[in-house]
Formats: sequence, structure tokens, C-alpha cells
Amino acid sequence: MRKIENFIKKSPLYPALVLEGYFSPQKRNVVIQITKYFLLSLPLLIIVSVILESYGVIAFGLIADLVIEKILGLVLISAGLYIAMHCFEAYFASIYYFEYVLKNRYQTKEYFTFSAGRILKRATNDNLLSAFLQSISVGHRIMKRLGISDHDRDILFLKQAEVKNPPIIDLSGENLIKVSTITNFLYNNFADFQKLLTKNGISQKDLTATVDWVVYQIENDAYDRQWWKPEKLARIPGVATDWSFGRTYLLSKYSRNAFDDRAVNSEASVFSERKREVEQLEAVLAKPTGANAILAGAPGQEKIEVIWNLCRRMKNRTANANLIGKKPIIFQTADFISSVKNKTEFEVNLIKIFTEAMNAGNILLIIDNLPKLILQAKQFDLKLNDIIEPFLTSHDDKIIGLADLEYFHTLIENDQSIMIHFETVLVRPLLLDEIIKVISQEALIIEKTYEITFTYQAILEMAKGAESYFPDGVSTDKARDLLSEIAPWAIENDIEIVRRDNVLDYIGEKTNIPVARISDNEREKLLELENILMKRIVAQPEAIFAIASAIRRNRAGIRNEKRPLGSFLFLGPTGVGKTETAKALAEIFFSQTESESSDEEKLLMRLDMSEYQNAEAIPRLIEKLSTMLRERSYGVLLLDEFEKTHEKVLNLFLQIIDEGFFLDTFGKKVMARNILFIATSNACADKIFEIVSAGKNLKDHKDEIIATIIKQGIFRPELINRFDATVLFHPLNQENLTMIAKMMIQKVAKKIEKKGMTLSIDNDLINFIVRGGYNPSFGARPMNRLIQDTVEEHLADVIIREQLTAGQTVSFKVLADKPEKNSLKPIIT
Amino acid sequence: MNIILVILGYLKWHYGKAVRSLFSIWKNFLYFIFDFFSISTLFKNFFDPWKRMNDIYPKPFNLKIFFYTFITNLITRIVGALMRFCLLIISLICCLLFIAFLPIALIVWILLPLIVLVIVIAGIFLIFK
Repeated sequence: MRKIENFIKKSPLYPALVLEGYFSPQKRNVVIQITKYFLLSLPLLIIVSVILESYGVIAFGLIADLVIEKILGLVLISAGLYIAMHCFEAYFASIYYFEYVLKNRYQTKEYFTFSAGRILKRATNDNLLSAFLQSISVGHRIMKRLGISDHDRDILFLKQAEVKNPPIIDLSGENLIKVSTITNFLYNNFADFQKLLTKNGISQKDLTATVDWVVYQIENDAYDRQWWKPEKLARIPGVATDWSFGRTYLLSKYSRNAFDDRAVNSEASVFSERKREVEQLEAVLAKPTGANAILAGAPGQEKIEVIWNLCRRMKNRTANANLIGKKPIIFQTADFISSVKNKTEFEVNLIKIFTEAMNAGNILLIIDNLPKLILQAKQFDLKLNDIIEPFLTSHDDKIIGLADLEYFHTLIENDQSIMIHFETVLVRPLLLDEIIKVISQEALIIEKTYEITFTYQAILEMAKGAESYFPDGVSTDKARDLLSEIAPWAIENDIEIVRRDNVLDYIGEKTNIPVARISDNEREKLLELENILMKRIVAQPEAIFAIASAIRRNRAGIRNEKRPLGSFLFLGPTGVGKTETAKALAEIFFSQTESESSDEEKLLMRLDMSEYQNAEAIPRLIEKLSTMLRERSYGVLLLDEFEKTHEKVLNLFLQIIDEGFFLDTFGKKVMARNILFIATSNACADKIFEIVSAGKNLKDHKDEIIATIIKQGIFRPELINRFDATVLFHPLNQENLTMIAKMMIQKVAKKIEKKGMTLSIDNDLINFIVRGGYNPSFGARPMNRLIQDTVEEHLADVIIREQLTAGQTVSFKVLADKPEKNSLKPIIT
Repeated sequence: MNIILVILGYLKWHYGKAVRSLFSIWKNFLYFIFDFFSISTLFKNFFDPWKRMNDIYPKPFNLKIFFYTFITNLITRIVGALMRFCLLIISLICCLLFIAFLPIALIVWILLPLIVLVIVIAGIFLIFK
């Protein structure tokens, strides 16, 4: 026993830990506040008493001296305590600082980090879990961030009383103990702890990330208080920095100093460090000549973030020496363009602006939206390069152009006259882990404003959700938007701790994609999906089962989130229900409102692939597809007659199905991860017929059919393998057709029912439709045509002639077998 | 026992690391003052024209214009030098004051535990006298 206690005594951090035991930060703060109050009010009391006595208002006499003495005594004690508490504060800050700034330089002689020490200090009975759960400043925070309730935490804590010989962490002192060392030890050695986390959906990786986040918060708070750090002092602008440099009258009109941007000066602005890009940029700008750079990246904040980081370095004086002392001026292209009226004004003013920048001598010119300037010049029949070339070749002047990636590729990259003066720095999109880091740091600031708490899982879901459920834009920006939108939403809904489910609820509300918990109505639909589909799709159980299980997998959250919702290749002859299945699915499952469910066409996105039979059609297809998916990022996309399209188109879909996104003509990512792809094809329909006609089971010959398709070169095996399932649709027999005919006529009946009229359906009518519309090669499709030509035609006639009005019933008498209108006679009763 | 350890730990910091930190903070501020007044730039560009307000000499040569330009440029240089001189004086005073502040701060810091002890005891004495 007391192994841990003896261990921590060896560390030079031990006295600070003990001191904290006596005077916790909260206690110190209370003492500071009280003594401050005394120090301010007591001297005032003495002064007032003396004045009043001198004017004879109050005659204290001897008592007065006594009172004043006592008050003075209190003042002295308060002053002493006030100073002492501040000394303790400085003592702690110094240790925190040690941890924060030099955190990777902790030496093993300290044995543990201060935050870890706070936990170890409580492990008097050697039970580290118990100590962790008791530690308010570290353990409680971590558990809260993990979304574990106080109740569950307390139960786990109480359980620890029963543990006789708790596992002991490595106390050899060879490895520095950090908070993450402790939590990993707890996760691996305390089954109850692991169970509780697993129950809450927390993996070991999540645990470590949460610990890092909490420790960052503790340390960052301490760092924030250290205003005397050189890098913080360096941010205060000097008084005579621009005395030796020229003024920029016209440039100032259309620009701003990036040093004045809030993001550069405020600790509260969080963005990814983008070390690689900033260093690359610095390296380009450090060159003696031609020190110009183009910063190309996705539209959004990412490019300017690199600039902000560079500016921070310039201000902190940690940037490259030749950049220090420079003034980063952002030329706001849009402002300039909106103010120029004609070609001459554009040319003259632009030259003036660049001359001013060059003459000033200390300007790092950053052109926001360089492509816009190039395009505007083009509109005036000018070449931007001709205007600004003298400045680009100058020795001292440095220019950075910001460009959206799409324009960079189309407008700049291939233009040698521009590229010769610039070096490209590409701003890569952040990876998920980096986005999580940025968002979690930003969340700390938002939490202070809104007085809410985000759990780690909520942050994780925001970062993931931004990518998965919003088809357009840069993930970091989207995640950031989500974060700032969720905070006020949480306040409105009285949510104090924002958890994963809250984030999903919000995303669901915003996008109409059912990402949140499964509602009762939806659960019923999910479980009954086969039955619901079977009511509409006749004789295709295999297809129905494949689709239903894919959708259930997705809603249960076990699908691959980097791929579309599902992808199916439906093979079979015409008119056997392939399209109908897609329609039914869209209506049943993807209808977002009641009114939508009646409008099939609106629900189902459809591409007739026979329109894209050559490679030239690809841009047209990409344009159409990206418009479709941007308008509706969740639903069913039917790719009709998939076999008729060009091989290059097939390759495009191979990528979409595999990765869940594609790039539009501008190089922008279009997400298709919430789309259910259904490709239909008549390929090998003859073979299917043959097999079924021979009375064989189609299921047993699936491999043979697929092999034939590959052999005939219709689809490549890679493509077929990419689909979640290749589903064979059976040709329909007489019995199936009778059922379908019945359903089709019932559909017509439903339509006129809305007008208050009734269509009476009898077997004669159904048989007439089946006999007349049966065509083995076209399945049920001719029946639909026949219904239109006969039943619907008759109905239209009688309705227009007002022979059939609301409240009346119409039935049909079959006069002949010939599939034409005159074979039927409407009888109105 | 613990309380002695705490006091010793604190005093070790107070007279060790804290004194070193005091020096480095003092150094930060001194550097900041240099930086804030741009002292090195002021020296380096002492005779530069005020905000680069200088005219270009005429081409081809024209005595009258040359003379005017010369005078204008001379004035802007004089104005620049004057302004810089004033600021240099102010900044040097600030620097000297701040340099003088170090020994005072150091003495106060070294005596601080004693000061705290003395004023608290004095306070107690005054109350319970």
C-alpha cells in the first residue's frame, strides 16, 4: 500500500501538489477576491472616518484611534495574504507554463506531469481508478467530456471500494507518467472502466483524444495568463515602424492590414497551424528574386488561414528574417473591381496601386482572389501580367496571390506568363483528425460564450457529419459552421451538455437526412421494409431482400461511411419491376414530407444512361449529376439502361460507388454518400429468359449470367464487384402479370377516387388487360400502355362529357379480346 | 511535515526559478521597449526622408527644379531626423528607467516572503494589541 504516494514524493513537483491540496485554485481565488475587497474598502473607511472627525461630525476620541488601528491591522493582514496568494499563483503558473510550453521536454526526473500528479496525489490507497474518478480538475472533466453522467461515474467510484488489490501502474520512473498514460492504464487494467466507456461508445482512441483535449484546455488557460511572454509583447505594434516607409493612399482604399485581422491578434481565434504550407510560403518569399507565391486551395477560409498563421509568425518575430518588419496588406480585389468603371481606370489605378506598394518599401502585398483580377483584366481586353510584371520581377517586393483551386487549374496553371513569376503553394484540405483538433479548440471558446459543454463525441460527430451530410464545400469550414450553429440551437432547446445525439438531431433537422435516432415510425418501416416493398413489387423477393438489408445496415450505422448508402445493379428483362422497385423505395423510404410521397418523380433522381453513349458526353453528365446531388444529397438515383453508356462513364461510376464522391468540372468535390444508386440493365435478358423458360432456378445461374456479361464486355468485373449486390429480376409469368394488372388498375381507381368517383374492378377487366398486354419480352410495360389506351381513355371521355360525376361508379364491360379501346364499354351507375 | 516540505519547495522556487524568470521577463520587456520604439530602425534610418516623401531629380538636368527638389528632400530628411531624435530621447529615458527598475524589483522579490511575514504579524499585532 501507499506505493503511489511514496512514488510521487520523489518528484520535484510534489510540494506544488501538496500546496494545491491546502490551497486549491478555487480557494486561492476566494482569498484573493476577499483580500482585494478589504484592501480597497478599508483604507477608504479610515480616510472617511478621519475626515468626518476633523470636521467634528463624529467625535470618536480615543475610540477612533483604536478603531483605526484595528482597521489598519486588517489592511496589513489582507495585503499580506493578497501578496502571498499571488505568489502562490505565480508558483503554479510557472509550473503550468513548464508543462505547457516545454511539455515535450519534461524530464524523467519529474516522474509525472502536473496534471497526472493531481490524479496520483489522490491515490492514497493505490487505486488509480478511484483517484481518477475523484479528481475534480482532471478526472471529472474528462468523464464529462466523454459524455458519462455523474451518476454512472459515482457508481463506478463506489464499486472501487470493493477492489482489494488494484493493479499498479509502472512506477519505475523510467517513463514519464502523463494523464494519457494513466487513462490508458485504466482502460487496459480496469474492466469496469473499459465496460463503462464501451457502453457509451467510446474507444481507447477516443479516450486518448479526449484526454489530450482536456489537458490542452487546462494548459492553455494557464498559458493565456502569461501576458509577459515575448511573443505576446511582440504583438503590440510599435510607434515608429513605418516612419521610413512610404504611404499608400490609393492602395489603402482597397485594402486592409492583415495584422489588424482579429484572427492574427486574438488567442481566441483557432485554426489549424498549417505548418507545412506556412513554411513553404516562407521559403518562397525568402528567395532574393521572384519571391512571389500563389496560394491555391479550396474555396473558403483555408487559404487566408495560412496567411493569418504567417502574420502571427511575423508579429511574433518567429517568421523568416526578411519578412519581419514587413506590413502584410490584403488587396481586396472585389472592392477594387466594383469601383472601376472602365478599362483606363482599371489599368491606371492598378499601376498606381502597385507603384505605391513598391515605393512604400515595406509591403507584403497579398492579392485576395487573384483569378478575379485576371478575369476582370480579360474583360477589359488586358493581360494582368503585362500590367504587373515590373513589380513581380522586383527584388524587394513580395506578392502573394490567393486563388481558388478550380480557377487556379483553369486560369493560372497553364498560363506560363504568370506562372514564370509565381511559385505555387497548395493548401491541402485538413484530415479528419486535424479537423477534430481545430473544432475541439474552437469549441472551448464557444463554450465560454454560451455556457454549454460539448462532449468529445459531439465534436467527433460534427467533424464527421460535416463531411458526410453536406455535399458541398470545405470540411473544416462546414464543421466550424456546424459548431457555431449548434451552440445557439442547444441554448434554445435547453441543452447544457451537447452530446453526439444532439449533433445528429441538429444535422437531421438541417438536412432532412434521418441521421439521428431511429423514430418509432421509421423503425416500423425498417423492420417491415420487405413486406412494404412486396406489396408493390411482384415476384422479386431476392431484389427486395438485398435492398432492405442494405438500408437497415445503413441506418444501424454499420455501413462503410466512405461509400454511398447502397449500390445495386438490377439485371433483368424490360418491364419486370426494376424501375418500379427504385420508385417504390424512393417513395417509401426517402420521402421527407407527406406531400412528397405522392410525387414519385420528385423523389427519384433519374439518369437515362443511353444519353451518355460517348466520351464527349461526360462533362454534360458530370454537370447534370452534380446539380442533382447538390439539390438533393439524400435519396435514390436511378441509372436507367446502364449498359448503354460509354466505358468512361462506367469508370466514373466505378469511382463514385467506390469512394462516395466525384469531382465536378471545377474540381470541386461532390459528395454522393447519402445516395442509393440503382443501375438497371437489360443485359443478358435473353439468357435470363432461356434459363427461366427451361424451368431452371435463376438464382443457381447467377454466376453464369454475370460471367456472360463480363465475357461480352458489357461491364468489367471490377465494376460489378463494386456494387453492393447484383440482383437478378425474374421474367414475369401469367400469374405475376395478373397481380400487376390488378395493381395498375387499382392505381387508376385511386386517381379517380380523389374526384369522388369509383372504379369497379372485376376479373374480366383484369384478364382483358393481361391477355392484351402480355408480351414476354417487355414484361408488364405493355399492360400499362394498354390501360392508358383503353381504361384511361374511356374515363377521360366520360369525365369530360360529364357522364361520370362525383358519387357515381364506373365499371367496364369487355366486348372483345382485341387490345383496343372499343373492346371495352364503360357502364356508369 | 508536509507543510515544511511545501514551504521549502516554494522557497526553492522563489529564490531559484522565479528569480531566473524575473530576469527573463525583465529581458523581455527591455527587448519590447527597443522593439516598441523601433530603436534599431531609428538609428539605421536616422537621416531617411520622412515617410519617403522625397521628389525625384529632374531628367534632363534643370538647375531650378534640381534646386527645389534638393531643398524639399533636405527638409523631409531634416523633419525625419528631428522626429527620430525626439523619439530616441524618449525611448532612451524609458530604457534607463526600466534598467533601474531591475535592482528594485529584485530586492523587493528577495525580501517578499519577509515583507509578507512582517506585515501579517504587524497586522495581527495591531488588531490584538
